[in-house]
Amino acid sequence: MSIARLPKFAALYGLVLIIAGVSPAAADDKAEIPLQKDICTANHVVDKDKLAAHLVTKHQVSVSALQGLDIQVNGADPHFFRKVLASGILNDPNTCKSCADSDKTSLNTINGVMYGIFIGSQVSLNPSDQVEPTEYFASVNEAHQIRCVIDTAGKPVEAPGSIVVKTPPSTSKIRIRGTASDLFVDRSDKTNFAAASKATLDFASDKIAHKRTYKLVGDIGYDLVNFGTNGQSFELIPYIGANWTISRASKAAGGKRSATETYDFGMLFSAYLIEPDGSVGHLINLRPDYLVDNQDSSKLLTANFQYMPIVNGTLNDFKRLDFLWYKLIVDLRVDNGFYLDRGNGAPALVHKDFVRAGGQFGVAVVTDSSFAVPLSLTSTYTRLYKLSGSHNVGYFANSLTYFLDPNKYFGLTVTYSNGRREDTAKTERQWEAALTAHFSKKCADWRKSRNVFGIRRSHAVARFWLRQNQ
Amino acid sequence: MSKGIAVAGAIANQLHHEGRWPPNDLNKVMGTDYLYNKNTLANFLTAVKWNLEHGTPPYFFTFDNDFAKKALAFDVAQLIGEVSKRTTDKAPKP
Repeated sequence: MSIARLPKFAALYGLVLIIAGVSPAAADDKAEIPLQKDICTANHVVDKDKLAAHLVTKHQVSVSALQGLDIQVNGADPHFFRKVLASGILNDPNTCKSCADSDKTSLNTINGVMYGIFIGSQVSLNPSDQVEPTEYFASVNEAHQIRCVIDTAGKPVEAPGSIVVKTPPSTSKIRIRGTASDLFVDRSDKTNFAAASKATLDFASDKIAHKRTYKLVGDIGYDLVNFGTNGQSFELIPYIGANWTISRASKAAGGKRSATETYDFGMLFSAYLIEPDGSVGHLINLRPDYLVDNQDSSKLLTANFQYMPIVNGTLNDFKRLDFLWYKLIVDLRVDNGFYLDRGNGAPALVHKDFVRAGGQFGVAVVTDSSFAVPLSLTSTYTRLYKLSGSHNVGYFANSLTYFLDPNKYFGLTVTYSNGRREDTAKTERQWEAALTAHFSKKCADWRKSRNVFGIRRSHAVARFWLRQNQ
Repeated sequence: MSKGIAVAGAIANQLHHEGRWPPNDLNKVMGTDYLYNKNTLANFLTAVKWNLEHGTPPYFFTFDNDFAKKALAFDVAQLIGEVSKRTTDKAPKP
């Protein structure tokens, strides 16, 4: 590479990099496979120079990656980008000493695009044979041809493609949920996370009834231990939780005070095991919990077991049906409860040690990302039969979200639940409408921030809601 | 069969098997478009690993859980490239 020419080249190449560096999303505005009009010749053969230019500019290979290669840097050369890809830099990007990590990722992705074409998977492009990307770009257009597919009407068959801005996975270890049984749901699991129970902190004042209500419901956990390899994982999540609802009427209204006051703490042990051929995954959760009820002074120790089989494309995973994706939800549960103190008053009479067994069944439906109406619906029924003690559990929970933007940061969510809760065995019947906003940033950026609830977390959720309890 | 072709084929076959392809779209992101989560993507990568090891010639792909989580943000083309990067023709030492 001619060092003397580097500054002139940088004016062209550097401009591409600067644009890409300042606005990474701009690079993602291009599809992996461009339209045929952008890369195909009049003879319906891929023009290697145009394809190379597309790939290199989309995937931001830097100038420094070219150091040590036998190539003249010349932005005015129409064959320049093809020469870059023919230079051998694609052979093994990991051994490129002058490449930054981002360059290696870019070069590996370019390889991924080319291999994806060479196996014949793309409807718009038909390769004549399978060669290594370096050999392809080192040869003339007529050698190792990739033909551009034309339909019977003579029109180009274009590659499917939609561009989604990729959001980086969250690095936060903190998990905040409405119930401890949802702590195993990771934020990276966007659909289940959106449908997971939500912690609530609110204050309501009723001037007509002269009553004020304070409510705090939720569990906060920390992903303390997380290890494993080849997809199998073991997690340890200690947590604390509270379910406080205090409603106080003014003296003029009789001064009555009603309340639910429980707090609990425990540990979630979660293991994910996979069959060697990847056909089935086994999610096993074990959660001991200690709950104290300040209302009746009872103390309850529980051991909760959950098993969820995961078969990709079949069970507890999504399957496509035209513009919809649906998931059948099935898990098995066994809850064991031992009262260390049955408490005072009338509730003590019904506080009996228990064993309940059953499971959760349901369905989740999501519209495809290319569909005009972004909806997400999850409906589940949890049923646990008492093998000993009192109370069967039957709890129907539904959540419907209409996303207001393509990135699903803002949504209108309606939830309805009815039945006896698994965690408290208390009945509730509730609907809620909320405007939700999710902000995702790296944990380090949010350590200094607090959300509207005053709880430090890496996701801030702003909720404006209407709620009716019965 | 070259390593890159074998990896692309294994990933394409698994996407077909799990109902994500067709349409065969290299732009689709594994987590947001194909609705994989860390567990189902772990299943996917394990199946790809198994098929590569039992192919002709065999190739050996290893990954850790950090890769499985990062892969949720990959589109299919990037996934092919990154899996190929972690694949060798030599069996890993036990």
